[in-house]
Amino acid sequence: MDLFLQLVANGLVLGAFYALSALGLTLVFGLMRVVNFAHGELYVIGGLFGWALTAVFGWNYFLALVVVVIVLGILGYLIDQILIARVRGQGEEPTILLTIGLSIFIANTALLIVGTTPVTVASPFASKPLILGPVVITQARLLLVVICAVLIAAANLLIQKTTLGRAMRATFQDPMAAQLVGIRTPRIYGFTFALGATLAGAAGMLLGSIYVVEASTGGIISLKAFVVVILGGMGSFAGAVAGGLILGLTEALWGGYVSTGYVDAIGFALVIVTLLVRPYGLFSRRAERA
Amino acid sequence: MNAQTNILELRNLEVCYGKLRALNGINLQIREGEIVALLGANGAGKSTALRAISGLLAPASGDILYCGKSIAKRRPDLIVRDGIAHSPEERHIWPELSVRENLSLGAYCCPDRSLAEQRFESVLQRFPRLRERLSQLAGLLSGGEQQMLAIGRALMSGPKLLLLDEPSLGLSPLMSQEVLGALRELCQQGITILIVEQNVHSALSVASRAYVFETGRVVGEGSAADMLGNPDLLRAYLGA
Ligand SMILES: Nc1ncnc2c1ncn2[C@@H]1O[C@H](COP(=O)(O)OP(=O)(O)OP(=O)(O)O)[C@@H](O)[C@H]1O
Ligand SMILES: [Mg+2]
Repeated sequence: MDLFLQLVANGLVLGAFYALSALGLTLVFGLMRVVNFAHGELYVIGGLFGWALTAVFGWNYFLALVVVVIVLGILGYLIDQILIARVRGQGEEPTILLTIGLSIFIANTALLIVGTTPVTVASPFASKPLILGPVVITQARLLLVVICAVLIAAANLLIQKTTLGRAMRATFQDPMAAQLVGIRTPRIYGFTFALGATLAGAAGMLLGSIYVVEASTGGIISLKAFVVVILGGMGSFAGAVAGGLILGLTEALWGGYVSTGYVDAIGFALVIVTLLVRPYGLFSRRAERA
Repeated sequence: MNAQTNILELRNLEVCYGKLRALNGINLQIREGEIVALLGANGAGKSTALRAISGLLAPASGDILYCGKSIAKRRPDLIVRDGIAHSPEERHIWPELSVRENLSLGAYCCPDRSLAEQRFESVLQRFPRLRERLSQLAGLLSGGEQQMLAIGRALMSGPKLLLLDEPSLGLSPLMSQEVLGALRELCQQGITILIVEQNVHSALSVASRAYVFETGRVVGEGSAADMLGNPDLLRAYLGA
């Protein structure tokens, strides 16, 4: 029983982290419908940047985080306006090819600069374990779960309750109508992608103090983020949280009771089953009239 | 501005989709306070003309004058701010946004909250059905209700010139009369209206003048009364 509780706690923490690492993709893929295979690389850039600033240059962690957020925002805006804008409205294939190319480019550039050695972000969070009854969890992890919850709630508020968020949803649902009410749609695309990149980078840096950051791990991070977004039903933040938790719990329980070998395959099995049973994801609402 | 001023003027307007030229030198004038109809067969270029006016399409040549100033190369958001609202063909409401969100985005360019609130009330007064469905997703409205929403959304920007593309598409005769009646009232409130309509008789029942389009050209124009009294014209171009 104690093992079970510990595994559930691990799974929930892992799930929250999955939700955090998929937050940017929830915006970019779920809402904006850009199939962004470079998501994981943006995450890695955030992690590597955070490592360079904190561990190499000895900057304050929070200052470094602010810099990472700003740099990734600018990078994301430029990627959208210079690259993605060229294939906008031409269907999914050109975007997929473009972002795959971009991910290869970023991953190899990162390998060139920092090499293959795993690095960690120097963080001020204590790794002292907290003992809650039968469950043990480090302070750092608990704090990150809280940050994760705050970020997800903030992103959700932005999308659901603000005029900007409404303009974003309107633009992705019907760009022509958005133009007709005076929304500057090119900016909305750029801003959304920038926000997605920022969230990916911030997740990379936040989680880079718990796990290692490696230049070559972008691919698997992208794939798991896609799993979370698809499980959650494309573009819903609550869905992404649920998707993350389901993935985290399943992986933790499978790893604890069955075998650690196939843990990474679990998510993809989940997605296949979900798509067969509920093609729109577990938590989506549709406004299609019969 | 007096009643004789042109609020909108198209001069030799040419618009292309890639290599295909959809408008071949259109000339037309609309005076302030008028309702003008654009008539013509499918594919004649009526919707294209509206898209060019609202800035969705850039003219290949020619000019678009609004209140005497060229808006031919202006961004669509600035054209909305100038006072031109376009309710497009097939409505284009946002299906997964609520009715309330659809309407409030119509006032996206209006920084004055209380003014937007005032317009919101007057739209709901004009289309009371929408009030009962404010929190419903717009995609779940009936076709006619969606049409009201599209017109309401256009009104939320507080336009001086309203472009309506087939507002009675898919409406029952009764509902269509209701919409046309609303247009007359809007016109009395000082809004100039340019309307594209397939149904010649209902178009001419609200419009004071009309232009007939054929394959990207204007092939006829006149007052509504003259057109209704000219069966040859109606038959030749409109099959009415
Ligand atoms: N997006 C587009 N790409 C290419 N050609 C287009 C496009 N939209 C319209 N056209 C062409 O331009 C011409 C004029 O189209 P337009 O939509 O303006 O016609 P319309 O008069 O509004 O017709 P309808 O009464 O059927 O709505 C048509 O020949 C049409 O095929
Ligand atoms: Mg048309």
